[in-house]
Amino acid sequence: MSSAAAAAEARTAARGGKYLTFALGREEYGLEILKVREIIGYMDITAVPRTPPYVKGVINLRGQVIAVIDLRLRFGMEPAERSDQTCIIVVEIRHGGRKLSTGIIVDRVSEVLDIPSEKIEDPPAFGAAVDTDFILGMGKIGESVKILLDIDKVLGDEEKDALAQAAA
Amino acid sequence: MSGLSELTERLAASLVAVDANDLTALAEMHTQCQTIRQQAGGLEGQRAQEVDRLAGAAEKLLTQIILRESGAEALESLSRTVTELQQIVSQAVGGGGAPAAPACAEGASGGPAAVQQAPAMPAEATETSGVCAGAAGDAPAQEMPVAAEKAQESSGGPTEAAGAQPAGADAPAQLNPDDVPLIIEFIGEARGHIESAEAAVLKVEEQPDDIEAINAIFRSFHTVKGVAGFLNLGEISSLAHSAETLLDLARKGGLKLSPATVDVILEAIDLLKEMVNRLEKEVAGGRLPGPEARLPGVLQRLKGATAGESIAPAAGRAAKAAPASAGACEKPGSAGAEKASAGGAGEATVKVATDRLDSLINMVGELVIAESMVRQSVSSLLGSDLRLARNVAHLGKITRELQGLSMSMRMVPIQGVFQKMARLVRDLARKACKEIELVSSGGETELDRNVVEAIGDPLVHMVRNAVDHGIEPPEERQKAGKPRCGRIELRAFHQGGGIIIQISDDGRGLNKRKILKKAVDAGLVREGQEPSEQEIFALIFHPGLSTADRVTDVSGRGVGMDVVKRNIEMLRGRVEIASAEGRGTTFTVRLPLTLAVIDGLIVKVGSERYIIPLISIEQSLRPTAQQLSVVQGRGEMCMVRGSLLPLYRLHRLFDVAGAVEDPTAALLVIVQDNQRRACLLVDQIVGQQQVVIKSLGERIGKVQGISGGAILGDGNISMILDVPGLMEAAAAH
Repeated sequence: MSSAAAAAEARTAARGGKYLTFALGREEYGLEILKVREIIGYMDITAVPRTPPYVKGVINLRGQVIAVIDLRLRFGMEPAERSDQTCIIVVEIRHGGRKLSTGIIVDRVSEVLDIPSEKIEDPPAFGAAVDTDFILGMGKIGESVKILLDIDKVLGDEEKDALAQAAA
Repeated sequence: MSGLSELTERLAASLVAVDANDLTALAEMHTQCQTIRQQAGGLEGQRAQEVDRLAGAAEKLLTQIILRESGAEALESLSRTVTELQQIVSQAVGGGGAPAAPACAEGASGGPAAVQQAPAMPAEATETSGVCAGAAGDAPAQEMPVAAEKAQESSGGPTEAAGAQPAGADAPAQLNPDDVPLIIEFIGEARGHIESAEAAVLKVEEQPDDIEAINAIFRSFHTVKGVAGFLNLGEISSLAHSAETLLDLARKGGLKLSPATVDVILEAIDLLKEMVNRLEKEVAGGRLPGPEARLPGVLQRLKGATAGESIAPAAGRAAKAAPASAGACEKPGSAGAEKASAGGAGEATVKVATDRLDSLINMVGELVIAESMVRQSVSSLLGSDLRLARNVAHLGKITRELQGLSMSMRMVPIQGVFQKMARLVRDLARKACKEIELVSSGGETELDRNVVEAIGDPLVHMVRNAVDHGIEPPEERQKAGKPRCGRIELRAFHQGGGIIIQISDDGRGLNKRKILKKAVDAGLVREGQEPSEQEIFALIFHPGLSTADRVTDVSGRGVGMDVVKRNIEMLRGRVEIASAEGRGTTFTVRLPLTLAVIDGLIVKVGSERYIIPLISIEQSLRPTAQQLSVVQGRGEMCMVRGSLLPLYRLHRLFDVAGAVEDPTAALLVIVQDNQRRACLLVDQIVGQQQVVIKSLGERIGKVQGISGGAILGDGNISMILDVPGLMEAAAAH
């Protein structure tokens, strides 16, 4: 019991820190700032045929070809119209031991927040309908709640996704 | 005698007053050093060497200062060298019988210390240390590195080292973390030296009196020894030292290099190679390698070769050389030192990590794109503003030159691979008791580093096959009326924007009947079928045929030939065979110059642009309605010059909206892969361009029908089509 509590505490302590917050529709999300490489405006994306719908394609980031993921489609939300606030956040994720840059499309980037660990709670159980695996925790800022993402899991669980598609 | 001490004093005096920019004074000192060396001959044996060595080192340092290769730190080393010189000369002139050993230890301290203070010129400085370690005449080989280590430890106060006596041979080898970067640098350097030594040994084997080649081997060992000694890598140092002793004798004419001696030298090179490999592994784990079991044997043989095969001492010099070799002592000849420095300074090079190089090339690519964007956006102003036009043109010129330069930085000559083959042929021929000479040409042909790295294995396979199965034993050759000595030729040359590597032998050639029989037995070819000559030869690349041992014996070839073909195809190359029975076989490998760039045709489909590799395009045309036909309401076909080709609509394969649907209003690009051909329906052709292939990244991974992406002039990315994959995808669609 005590060791489990200690482990949980260690986990929550590790979660505290700076987060980049952004919006998808009316939902507010947070992303560990250390994973963010840069934020760029929306640009033309070259579609790659024969890929899942949420893979929007690739962009040229100063000579480097990086993949761009539409986070709305990844989360099964309705696609949104592009606005002048639409951004691509370039994140660095770990993929098989290597660092990999990937762009994610979000509706709007909000701000960088310092969220102490005591303000972060484990995600509540939503039942089978909502996959909470890639949620790091729920950050409480005043009245609002930010969903803190474990971006490695969001962008990494390819196989699981393929399985889910096959089942559907 | 007194003239010498006067000269030395004068040199020391000028040194005190000299300024690194005063070229006249420096030149004056240079002349003084030379005079000292000339007069050193008047001293008795060991002293003469010492003086000659030190004056030579001073001379070299002066040259560096004059050439602006190094500044203040070289002056410091110089003053130390001159002080030492003064001491020795005064001892000599004073007729003192002081033992030579402490003087030498002092010399050893001067060497490494100079290295530490002047890291900008390691080759030169270690040269000094090497000479010095070698000068420890009466110390056994194993002890020298230890002495060097002592000197290194006490580099803060060189005077301590002066009195240091060489410690026992079995001092525990411990890895000093500070040494790690030095050792890593040494490993790379040593590999280069080993490689060039190996090449030179093979040359010497053919022409035993090629003094230049012997000198080259000597220099390589010499440098390895010097640096290894400095880094306290005792075993490597002593091995290099023994080999060097042998070669020193050879280059002074005291020893003729017989084939047996060459074998011993090659053995030493091999062992050295392995020891360096082991060193790399161990250092990565934070240790130094333990004792090498084979070392004593090789050392023994080296010494045996040195002592046993000396020509009878006719002149006084040879007589001196023989005892020197027995005592494992090297006589630092001034000529050798001079040569070594010349070899090191031939073409100055800088080692750069490949990822830095790659990102530089990436950035240059970006610059080219940015330049063309700037040019486009100011193009309307160019007519009226002459200055702007001139500047833009200038920028364009610089950019293109930079692009060419950066691409050439990745190009390396194929010579290194050819050298490895020379060694391979020699060893294999020995083993198989065959006489084979390897002739290579075009080693200077340059191609992308990645291609050079990847072509090594397939080449080894093909060369091994040529030796094992192509060339007949000498007796059989004589019976067939051919010269006893077989001949394998390696050629590399440019042709049509690509590079061609040919391996030909004058052996027995491929036996068509036997290959065909085996293929029929294996069920690859039907009985009664009569394939063409090319088709039969192509069978040896078939995995089902080539991996079976029996077939290897009968057909004469085929060990892993399927692997060869696969590897070459991975490099986007092709391999062809020409063979005449009884007269030999030629393998022709065609490779692209670089893996990074292809010529592509940019086509438009709806809102998307795709790039089709030019190499797989046959032609493009706008079809008439008569040429088109539909099979069973689904499969579309097009009749092109009498052959019926399947028609694939790119926009359907790739799900692109807004494309032209009517083929007679669009274009057909006819693509081919091996024998398969097909038409691709595209809206229009945008242009032709060289593009840099970029992977889509692990995130997206492999997509069927797409081989990568390319950044076009406007900064956007286009997909590059993979024609074979596309045809498969289309057939399954």
